[in-house]
Amino acid sequence: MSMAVSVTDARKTFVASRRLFGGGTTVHAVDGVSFTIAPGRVLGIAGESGSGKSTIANLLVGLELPTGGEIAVGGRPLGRKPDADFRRSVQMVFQDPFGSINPRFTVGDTVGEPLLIHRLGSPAERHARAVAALDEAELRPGEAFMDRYPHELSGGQRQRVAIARAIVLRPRLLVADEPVSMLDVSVRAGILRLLNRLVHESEMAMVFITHDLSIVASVCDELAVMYRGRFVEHGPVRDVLQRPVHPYTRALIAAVPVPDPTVAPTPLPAKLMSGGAPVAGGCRFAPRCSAAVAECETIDPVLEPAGPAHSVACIRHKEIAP
Amino acid sequence: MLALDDVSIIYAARSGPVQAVSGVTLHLPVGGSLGLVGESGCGKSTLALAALSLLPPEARLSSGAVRLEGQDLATLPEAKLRRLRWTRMAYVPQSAQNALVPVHSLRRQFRDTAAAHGMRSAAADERAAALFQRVELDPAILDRFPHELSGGMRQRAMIALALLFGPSLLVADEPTTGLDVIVQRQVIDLLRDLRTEDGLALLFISHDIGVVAELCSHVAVLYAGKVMESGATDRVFSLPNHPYTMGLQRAFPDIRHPERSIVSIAGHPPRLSAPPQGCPFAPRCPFAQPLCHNTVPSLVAGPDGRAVACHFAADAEALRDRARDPALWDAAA
Repeated sequence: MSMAVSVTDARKTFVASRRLFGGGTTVHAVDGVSFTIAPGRVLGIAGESGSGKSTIANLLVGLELPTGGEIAVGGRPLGRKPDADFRRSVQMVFQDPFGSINPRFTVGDTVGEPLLIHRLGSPAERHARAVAALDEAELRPGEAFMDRYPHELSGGQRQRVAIARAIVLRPRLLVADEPVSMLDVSVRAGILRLLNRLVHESEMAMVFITHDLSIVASVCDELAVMYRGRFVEHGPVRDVLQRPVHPYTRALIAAVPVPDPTVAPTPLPAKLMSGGAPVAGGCRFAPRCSAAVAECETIDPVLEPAGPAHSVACIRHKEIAP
Repeated sequence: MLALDDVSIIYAARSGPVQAVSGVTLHLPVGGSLGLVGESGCGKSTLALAALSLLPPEARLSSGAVRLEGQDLATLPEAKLRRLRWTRMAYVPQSAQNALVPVHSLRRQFRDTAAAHGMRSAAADERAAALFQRVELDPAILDRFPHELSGGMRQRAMIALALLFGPSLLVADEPTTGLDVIVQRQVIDLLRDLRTEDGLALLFISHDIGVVAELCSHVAVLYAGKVMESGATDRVFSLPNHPYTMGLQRAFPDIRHPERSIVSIAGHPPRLSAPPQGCPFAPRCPFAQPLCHNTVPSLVAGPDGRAVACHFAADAEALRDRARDPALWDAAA
């Protein structure tokens, strides 16, 4: 099967604190990440701030260019510079539905604008496609929303407008960057289910970026956990959540508050909080890892199979597996 | 420690008055912990500001009283309030990034705050170092600037600053929102230790029922400026009596159960400039009857220290059973 998206050894480095006469430190925001997503499937990428998950999102939509590796969407590689075709094939849904849509545009203008930018269809066709996209985003009847303004809509409805705008071009890949984290809890499930349905009923693939591991099961097929620019664990979403292998994944899951006051929170190892900077050439999580041994400071682990479609970057994964 | 009795707060907006809080009664005993849970616009942050007597000029207490250790805050002069605010109660806002002065070192901020209340710099330095150790920050960090700290360190520094004059009550408004999950856990653990080891009372505002479940012994669930139900956290969350609490629980994912589907609550909160005639939750409630749409249910206290504002609280057990089915919420959505 041809993949909707394939990313091979993608790298992105930034030069931080550049000095006037050369020098400066290089930050490896994304440091050799590879994955593929089949059409109609969702990959969740979870991690903390600074893990590189948002840089991956920016690379996928062409907002930043990789410093190494290859990114291809629908079999077409992203060249030196993303062209109009590439930009059309990848669309993004942002975190903040209050900041990402123009308050002076009607809903119809917002959703129809990508068609105008890419000079697709006549005005009547554009109108019809915008209405159809709104219907698909469950703003029904779409026609009734076309002339409304964002301030007349709730946060959940605005995010649906942003989703309609993203799907109106029928992209091959949708990149959703924390799309529900600004929304009220009572409307999140609806947005997650909508995204899940839109992907599974189409040929579109999705990358779902989040810091919140508790919501990934509602929307993702696979989950990758990122730490300092690398995937440290990757597998079917329930597998990773219910049988996490990597010590970092386990810590992330244990830290999530459980909405049950009768359950005592799992204590987190002190080393997780106090660990220093990683040693070059070793595992980048070793300084914070309570399972680390001497070899962890000298061997940089790569992803290895740890189960069906489940891989882990930890040299001790066999010993520590649950 | 802190008592809010029948508190109502009205904001003067350009389009007319907005009833942000109506008839809220809450009691927080010495050393106790009370979580205010609800979604945006439910009045939880307004209540936090009212507890500190820090309401913005366009808001006014239209009824009721806020008492700190028996003193009605509305009757106190501003100078007295200012003193109470640091010495008896302190505030930790959501964003330490915005609350700290970006161009001053942390030491300077401790000294300035201390000076405003007549504490000398040497005493402030000593106290700051001790407080930094309490919040598990290296006292050397005192000479750094806010931008040099991570989000979690800034929030801990903010908590240390709030404790400068040894208050008995901490009002924390979403203090962990926006933090990474491991850092959030550290801040929750710190607040819990301050509560259990140092006897600090905590008024904790959050949209996250998981965080409240971990931290607060008591909870009040707010909706549209009213208390829907309140009581001991373990009782309220294990046997919710109000349909809104039931819905909120079903909407909140549980990392231990990825197979459970989460629900949406259909509709949106009422406009508080024109509050509905009946129960504010009735338009979104899957159990609403005609009575709910035209009569406001009053908050009725039960024998176990719990209170609920629902006409059908007597049927709560049957409603809980029905609320477990996601199809009930989906059908409404």
